[in-house]
Amino acid sequence: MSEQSGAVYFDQVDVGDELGPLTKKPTLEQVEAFCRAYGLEEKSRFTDLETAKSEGVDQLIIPGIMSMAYLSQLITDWAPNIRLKKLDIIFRAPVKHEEEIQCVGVVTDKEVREGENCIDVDVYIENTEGRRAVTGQALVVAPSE
Amino acid sequence: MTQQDELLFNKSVLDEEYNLGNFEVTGEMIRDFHEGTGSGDGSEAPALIATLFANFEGPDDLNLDFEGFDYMAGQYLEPGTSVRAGDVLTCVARVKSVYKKTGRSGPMAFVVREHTFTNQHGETVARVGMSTVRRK
Repeated sequence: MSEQSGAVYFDQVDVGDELGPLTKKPTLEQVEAFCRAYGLEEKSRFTDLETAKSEGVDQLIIPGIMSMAYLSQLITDWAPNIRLKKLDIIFRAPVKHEEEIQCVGVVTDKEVREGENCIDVDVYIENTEGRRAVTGQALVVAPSE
Repeated sequence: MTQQDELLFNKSVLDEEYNLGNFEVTGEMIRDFHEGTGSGDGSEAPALIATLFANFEGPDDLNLDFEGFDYMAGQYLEPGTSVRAGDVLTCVARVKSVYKKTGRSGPMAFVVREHTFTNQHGETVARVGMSTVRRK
């Protein structure tokens, strides 16, 4: 397992290494701030329960892009010297407000591709009941030592 | 889940580039992004912030004949250079595919779009693929 807080080098990484968990518990204030960032200031299914219910959602949920941001943060927090090349995710279920979730990654492969030290990572967001709301894969490039 | 009958939409838009416009990234926007996600600070943001401008309604003449609400089904990001306050991003998008499926909750219409964001220096900030599902 490589250092979580320091630099990570390709040779140190092993299949099965874990990233995170990065724990989040999105609040209404955080979701409102995130929605403001992309100009969504009116009532929406993300910030207003009545609007959510009118769209068939029984609880406030966070924007899908916010889940993407969490998983991106999981990767970039791994080490300052690695580069996220691609993040590809599927939204399987909504992430709700005030729900404690964990963002986790597991290294599934590593190999040199076209001269780059590529590391494949399965990523997911899971709640405390073990329900995986978001799953996907990240492609990370790490330098050699 | 099975493939269902054909979905009505304007097929001439498939793979045709359309300009989504220019977007100025402000310091306030970056601050709200960091506050919302609990990540980082300062005037620099990850290329991911470009995804905030990725629109899941265009183009105007898609004319998708399917009522319902749109939800994100999937998304991919290929980040490029990072974003600073004051950057102006230009986005070119295209619709890659439109199809219909029927699941446990009934029929759904999927639209897959790709967006490419460049900054004012012509550098690629991000490529963003977005799959949305419209459900009744």
